Amino acid sequence: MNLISVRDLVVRIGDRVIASVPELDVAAGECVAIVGESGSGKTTTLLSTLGLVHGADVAGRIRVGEVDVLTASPARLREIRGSRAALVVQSPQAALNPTMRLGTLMRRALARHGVKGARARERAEEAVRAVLLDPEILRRHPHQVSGGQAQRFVIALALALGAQVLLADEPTSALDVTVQAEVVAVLRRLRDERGLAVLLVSHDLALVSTIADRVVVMRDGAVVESGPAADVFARPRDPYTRELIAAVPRLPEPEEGS
Amino acid sequence: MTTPALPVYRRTPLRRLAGVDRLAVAGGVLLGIVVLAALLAPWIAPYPDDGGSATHPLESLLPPGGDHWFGTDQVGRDVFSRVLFGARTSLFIAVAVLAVSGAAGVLLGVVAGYAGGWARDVIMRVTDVFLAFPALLLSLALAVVLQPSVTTVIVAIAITWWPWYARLTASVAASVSTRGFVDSARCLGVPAPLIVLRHVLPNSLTPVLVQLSLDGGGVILTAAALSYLGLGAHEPTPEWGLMVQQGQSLFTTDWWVVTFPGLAILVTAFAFNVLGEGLRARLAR
Amino acid sequence: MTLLAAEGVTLAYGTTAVVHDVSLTVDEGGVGLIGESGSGKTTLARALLGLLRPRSGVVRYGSRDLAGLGRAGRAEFRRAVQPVFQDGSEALDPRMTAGASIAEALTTHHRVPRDERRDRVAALLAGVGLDPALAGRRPHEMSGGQRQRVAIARALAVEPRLLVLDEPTSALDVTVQARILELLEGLAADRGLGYLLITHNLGVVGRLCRTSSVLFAGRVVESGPTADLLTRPAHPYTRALRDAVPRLGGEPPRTAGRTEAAPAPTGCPFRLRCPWAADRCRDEAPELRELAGRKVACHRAEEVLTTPASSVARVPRDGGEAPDAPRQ
Repeated sequence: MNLISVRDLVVRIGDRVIASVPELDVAAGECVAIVGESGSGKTTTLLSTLGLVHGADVAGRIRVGEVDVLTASPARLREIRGSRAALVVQSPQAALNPTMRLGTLMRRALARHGVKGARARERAEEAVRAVLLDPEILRRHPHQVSGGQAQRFVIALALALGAQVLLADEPTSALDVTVQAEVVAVLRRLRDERGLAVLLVSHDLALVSTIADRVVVMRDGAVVESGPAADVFARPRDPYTRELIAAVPRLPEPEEGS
Repeated sequence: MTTPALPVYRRTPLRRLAGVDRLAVAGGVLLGIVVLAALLAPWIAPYPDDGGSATHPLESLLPPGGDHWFGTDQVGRDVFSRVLFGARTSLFIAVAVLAVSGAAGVLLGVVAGYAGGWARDVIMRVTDVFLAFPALLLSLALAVVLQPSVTTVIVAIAITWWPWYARLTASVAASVSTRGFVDSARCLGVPAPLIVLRHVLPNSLTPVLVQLSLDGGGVILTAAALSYLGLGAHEPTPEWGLMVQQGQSLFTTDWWVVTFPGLAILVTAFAFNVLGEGLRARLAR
Repeated sequence: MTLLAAEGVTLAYGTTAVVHDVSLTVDEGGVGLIGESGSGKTTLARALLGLLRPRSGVVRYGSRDLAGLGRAGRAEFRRAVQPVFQDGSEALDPRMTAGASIAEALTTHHRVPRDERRDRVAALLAGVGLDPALAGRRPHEMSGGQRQRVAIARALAVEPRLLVLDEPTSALDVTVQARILELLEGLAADRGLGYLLITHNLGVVGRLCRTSSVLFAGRVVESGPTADLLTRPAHPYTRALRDAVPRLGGEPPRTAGRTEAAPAPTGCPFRLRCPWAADRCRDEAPELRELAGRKVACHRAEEVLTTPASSVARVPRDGGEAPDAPRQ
């Protein structure tokens, strides 16, 4: 089942098309990555799926779950953003109220969805464990956690509210490589064990290749290539995709147990 | 990295910017009118001589009318003409104070901010001492010690105002000094005074300029207050504060003598504030 | 010949030491300094650039102590060693055009007649692959890659012998990164330029540097030939770094777990994150020692060196040990 479905999306500012995507589907338990560089329209495409593009004309059809995003009422959109789909951004710490403990943030969000008391605590701890964090973190304030932890907490928050769709905008590019690896491990787990639909936007091809099932390559607002990740990386058809792949720094292979 | 200038967010700030600019433009236009009035006073004033020591005892305290739009004062001078000439005094004081205190404050502040260490400590302690005195009180004390005059007003106000600019500039300059382009200049071996002049100063100036324009109104009010208390301009210099002081006892009978110079103070101070606020909002984007 | 060296350098902000007793030499050719955020790499770079005085230890330019250089020696050092920072938009004065920034560098140490300046600026811009017409642009009118090239041109204007590159590409798009690295490689080869490359990106170090040092919590934990470090790391942290780098179409990156653990205050600073940690690591801080053609600060380096990659503890992940090809 497709949890995200985009058809004939065109985002314009004035006469300029900043993103044009004919077709994009993300099914449950699938990770689709939009790959591109600055100005490629990848972030705009991602934000369109939550109706978060302001000041531009958005045309086409966008469905998240059962909801038609472009015609939905503001209340309905808020509901999607609150509980159906979660947006994970590069620096999530800025989005967390610095005066509240993470547990309080989580409890309030759950209360808004009618989950309270012991059940709320249970859900919160379960969600935090699902992203490989120690529930102890719920007692901390946002400034007392690292960037990678904040990143995973935001994902846990969405999980606790029952999100089935995860939209991640360059979730790892502000993180150290060792921390990046953990966030990626979490995304993979949620996709495989909980059947989340993950739409990932990134410029890091190597990272994308380790998690994405399908890949959409964008440049200057247009899709230049898309297909199963293995095909795109093994046999890129578009010269730009080839250039992107060539730009990935190569590491010498480790000598196993030498 | 993500797409830096996200096109999707562009419109809202733009719209806000337009609104803000209208505010700044309004302040600028208003202030422009005051400046024009000051510059052209000798030509547009209906009775240019009344800007000075002329007296017309027979025409004293005439109410506003066709010959005297703002009426006349106790010695028969045209209030409209005196308000126009008063703009010269007030703006001169404002510009002089802002120039002197701004230049001193910015210079000391930029040195303190870039040098850090003991130089910063010394400069900041001195400014703290000045800031510890209530500004108006210090100005008053100085004005009492010196002879009452326009120059006295300028000196008295400037001495209490520069520390604010020093402190503001120091904090901005300190943060500018940590930026890559300053390190880059140091690594090139550019001498410190040149780094300060070329890189730190120009990049620290904007907030001070905004503050200066916001403060223009304050200077005019303070100058009016000093003159009102008899510590600044004195007869026959046309000065709005002095005019208010001389006219206040007549308020119930001959309201125009005090009202028009008072309005002039209000409008000019307001114009400075609106302009400064507009600039600040624009830069705070 | 050694151009620049740190000898037992300790650096501190206030009372907090961020770099402990680090020794490092940069000669002609490329040297890498690998570290993540908080490792102290940027602080160390500032000390090597003479922007920060060591709390203890010595930074040497050639054979001379940087702190003891006279006016002439200092000017010579400034001409010889130039930085390239992470972000060209930070490193260039926002109020100056590209041409003015480069001209400033040209005229700092030599008098250059006005009419000659423009030609020299144009030549420098062309040398970094830019259109000389860009001389009239300000930083915000250029792309990130263009800004970084202008910053490099500015550094080259004084004809330095050594560049200190602090994350020179990490703020740039991948294709732009690749081109900047090519440019740096070419410049190094053509001009015999030495460079110290400071980065968290192992791929970049592997490509540009013959030897590298790995910095963890302000200490060098391993240093030696870059190829050896990347193929057969002897320190668990080097290994964790290498395993965390995603490979195109390869297995998902491995993590040694507990990346959020702060450096341990006693014993080995890495022990709280280390899958090899033993009692000895808690009691005794490891010293740098020679092993297999490199220096490493780990009590169990011999075991790390010989343990196959696949048997290292890691965050639980799906699919067992089979390489995870992207699914259809």
